[in-house]
Amino acid sequence: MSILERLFVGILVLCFGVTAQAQEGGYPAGGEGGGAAPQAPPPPNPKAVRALRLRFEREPAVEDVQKASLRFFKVHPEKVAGYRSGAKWKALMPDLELIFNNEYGTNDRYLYDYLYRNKYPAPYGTCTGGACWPTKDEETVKRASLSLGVRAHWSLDRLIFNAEILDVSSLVGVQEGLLREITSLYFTRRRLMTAMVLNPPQSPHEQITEQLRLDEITANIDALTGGYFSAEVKKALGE
Amino acid sequence: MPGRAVPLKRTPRRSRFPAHLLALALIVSGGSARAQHFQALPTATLGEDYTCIGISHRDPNFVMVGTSTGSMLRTLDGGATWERVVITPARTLYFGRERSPDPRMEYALGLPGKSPHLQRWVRQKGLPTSGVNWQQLLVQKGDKMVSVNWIEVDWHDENRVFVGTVDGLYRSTDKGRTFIRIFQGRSSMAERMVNTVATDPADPKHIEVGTASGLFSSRDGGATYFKTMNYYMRDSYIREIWFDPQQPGLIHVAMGGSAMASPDGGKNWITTHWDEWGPRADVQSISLGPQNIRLIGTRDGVFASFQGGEMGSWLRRGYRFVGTVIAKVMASPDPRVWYALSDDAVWATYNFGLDWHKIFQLGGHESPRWIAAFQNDPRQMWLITNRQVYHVGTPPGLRPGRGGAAASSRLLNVPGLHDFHVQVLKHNGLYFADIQRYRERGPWAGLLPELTAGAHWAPYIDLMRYKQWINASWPYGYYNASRDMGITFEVFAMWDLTRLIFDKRELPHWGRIDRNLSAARQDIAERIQRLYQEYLGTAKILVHRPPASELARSFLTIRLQEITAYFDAISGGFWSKQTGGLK
Repeated sequence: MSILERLFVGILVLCFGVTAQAQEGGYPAGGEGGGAAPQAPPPPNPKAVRALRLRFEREPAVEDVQKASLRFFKVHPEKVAGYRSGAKWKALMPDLELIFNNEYGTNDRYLYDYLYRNKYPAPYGTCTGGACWPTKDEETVKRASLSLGVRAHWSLDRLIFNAEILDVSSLVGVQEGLLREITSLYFTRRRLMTAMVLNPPQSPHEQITEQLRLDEITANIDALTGGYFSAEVKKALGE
Repeated sequence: MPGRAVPLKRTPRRSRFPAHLLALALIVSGGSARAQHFQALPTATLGEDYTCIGISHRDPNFVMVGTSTGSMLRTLDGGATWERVVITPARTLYFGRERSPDPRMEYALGLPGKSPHLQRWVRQKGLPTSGVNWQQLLVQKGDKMVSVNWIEVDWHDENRVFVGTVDGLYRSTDKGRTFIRIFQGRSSMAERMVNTVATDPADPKHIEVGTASGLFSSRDGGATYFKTMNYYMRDSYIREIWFDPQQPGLIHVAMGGSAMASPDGGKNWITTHWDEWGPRADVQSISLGPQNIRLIGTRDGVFASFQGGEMGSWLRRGYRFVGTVIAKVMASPDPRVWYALSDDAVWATYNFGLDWHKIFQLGGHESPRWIAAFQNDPRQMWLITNRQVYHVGTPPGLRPGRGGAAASSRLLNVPGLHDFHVQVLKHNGLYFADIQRYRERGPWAGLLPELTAGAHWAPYIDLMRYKQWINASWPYGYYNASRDMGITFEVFAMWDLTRLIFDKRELPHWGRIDRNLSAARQDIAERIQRLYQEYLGTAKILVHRPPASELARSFLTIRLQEITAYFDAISGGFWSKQTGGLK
């Protein structure tokens, strides 16, 4: 290794050593991330904060909104329990058959006897080659029958095991999705209201946008609760 | 693949030092693994999959995270507070019914995509041609999910945010508060599927949009788009577009089957990477590092070029990744430090890709989606998994400070995850042991019969009239009538005793019902696990290191209230009974 190369190595070692140190400082193990601190919002107005808290207290609780939503979509726990109980006891109720049967039949019998030749033609006989034979005798038989029945069928084995009970449990997917959505919307709305008080919009455009978003979320909650939320808020605020 | 020999860099740089000197320097400087702590952040959604992240090029505190349902999370304070923004309504809950028209969308004429000249003429008249097409609106089904594929904050204007979705390109002019659609492809659904969008750091009006079928350029800020008709590119699946901020006009594109680059702002294109082995040619991600380092992640590992990505200059880095899909790569300002995402872990190298270290292991159904950092600075790195948003260390907005009143340590007294999980499953009738116990009753059901009981009433009339024509008068004709009537009772009982020997309904994992229940169980388990961890993490912040900002503290508290409300709803109030509740 030439002197020049040794010099390079020395400089490199120094350079990388410094870089590595800087990097060690820059990538602290389990330490703070980098980045400039965000601009702090202006100090909140205590009166507005109090008003916000009061408003939150007057609004329906999240549990009530969740219940309203589940009830609106007919998947509230009582309803689902009803479905489950129905599936459990349905085997006591029979399949019922009502049977009605009506038959009507006619049998006509005509007897021609060639010993009883007659000169008279039809309608009471038959003629062949100019000779006619009358009907000797005639018999008409009419039958009518009516049947009324009732039959009941119980699948009693379903009292012990009925797969439909497990099927009802599948409704939990709908319930859970609904709960997730309504809870998310409810607190998204609260977050937005909090931000509007603690970090109020600086421009009219921003204010209008945020207000629109608030209205939209409220409308979504109403859509999922059949209007329960706004009705309750109006009631609470005496509007 | 042929390609024009156009240099990919204005000033080709050669390696400044001999390789053996660099290696020696690395050994001396101790290029070893450095632990980096990924902190899960409290966010604002309960169960959506995260898909991507967009970080402002100028403000590290302005970050947006996309989800699989068309909504996004937005933070302006580096992750302390998150706001949920909806681009297009998630319609799954509406049972096929379309919502009322959305006031945030631009309802326009909705010209068919195949009429570029007509579109231009309409635009000249001052009418919008983008936005939601009325016809499309009617066609859209209730179960449509609009996944967010890419978020790009404009290099030149923080207020302009572009969002690529499977349903077109959306633009915000108010920092991500509201969006309108500005691009919906030209003629096919694949063109509407926007995978990536990039703004040019050197030209405020230049936008490149990568779709599932080709690359579109706009030179007027997004008003009109022209498809790049390069043979290799025009129908390709474009995954990523990166403008090189150091070398104006240089664009790199990752696409299905190759990587391409343009040295002149998109006028000419050359292939930079291709391989006969399909997975190796399939470029998932590309990253531009300093000193002309270019990284690509493929379905067959990581490759690096130290010559600006020139064709033939790619070297495999990390033999452990052979045959592994690398979803994302990220170079850092330090040329030695790179990051890569495999399907279950985050990897880092500190010596030009020679040795790779697993710095974050994910598991279960949590898999990494995206890794990105403000100006590629690893200290400001974000990791997105399908379930969670992570930041390296505590983000600035959540750092403790004076005036931050600590919350009661009672927040940390929560039931164990397993106990809570079992309680939720039991409450919802999904607990496997309970279900199986019930299933095991199936064979014994054979002991009870199928019972049939019946009663029948059947009147019968038989009437006979006889007439003899020889003596066609009474008494030679007569009637014979008979009436019959019967009532029958019947009882049948049938036992299916074969069920005592074997009944398929007893099987633990059989049939449609069990598939449904398993899916529901899995969904709930994943959601609980994620939210439980988030609850604990948030509670720890509030108890041990409360942020100085009241707004941040309020958001954290609301987040805890939200999770509590959800947990109570799905567990029948068990969570609040155990924790004392949170009002």
